[in-house]
Amino acid sequence: MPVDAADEERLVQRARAGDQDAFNELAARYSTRLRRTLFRITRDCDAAYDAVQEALIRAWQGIDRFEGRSRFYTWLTRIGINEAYRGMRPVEEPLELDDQVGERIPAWGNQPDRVFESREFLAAVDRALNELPLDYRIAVALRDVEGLSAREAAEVVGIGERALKSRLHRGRMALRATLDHYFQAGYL
Amino acid sequence: MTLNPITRHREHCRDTRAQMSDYLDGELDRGAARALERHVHWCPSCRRFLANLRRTIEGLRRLGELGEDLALDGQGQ
Repeated sequence: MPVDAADEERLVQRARAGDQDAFNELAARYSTRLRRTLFRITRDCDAAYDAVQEALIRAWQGIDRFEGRSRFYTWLTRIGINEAYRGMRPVEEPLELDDQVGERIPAWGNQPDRVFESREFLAAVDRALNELPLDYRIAVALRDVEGLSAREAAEVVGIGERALKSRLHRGRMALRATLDHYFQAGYL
Repeated sequence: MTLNPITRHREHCRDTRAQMSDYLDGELDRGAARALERHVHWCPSCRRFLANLRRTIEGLRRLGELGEDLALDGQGQ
């Protein structure tokens, strides 16, 4: 459901003035989406649920500090990711990317242009996303799966836009390499 | 030192691939985008690479559109 920006601003103002109902309405709008985002990052249903609850508590306690320079959801997601980070250590090792030039051109099936969407392919995308190092996974999940802009995703993670784009590119490249055999088979 | 044509081509491939994310996000300037398109037009390996990167991103967006059904399907894996 598209969220009216002016309506959201009114709710935020009321919440900042101490109106818990207004905050509850904001929470109701975004908690499912936030839980989905955090699940994609943590891959743990309970951890995602707990992180959402903790994020909502912290957001309510800190609503005075929300100055409206970003969307409320961006701010809330940042808090949620910080909560989800607890107990999760980012993988620091650089990822080996299969983007060597001059690679053998794979053999294509009999119908290289045949395009068909399948749940199997999407499940493979989901699994491949799960295998990405955490920093890349977060960048890809926020930008490509959740549809945040690069600037918003960078804000959520608390890094510069350029660094976010670098993680995003590396994550996408790694996913492309992982999914290569699906492309050879003609999946989309 | 003059690079041989194969080495030069591979370097061009590497540079092109490094820009593909920005290209697909529409964030390359016009000149860089045209250069990438020219290279991809003549280089089958990079053309396939770009097509597969585009399909990857489309798959990710489709995941988002599906909501949490698929995400929760895979939680035990």
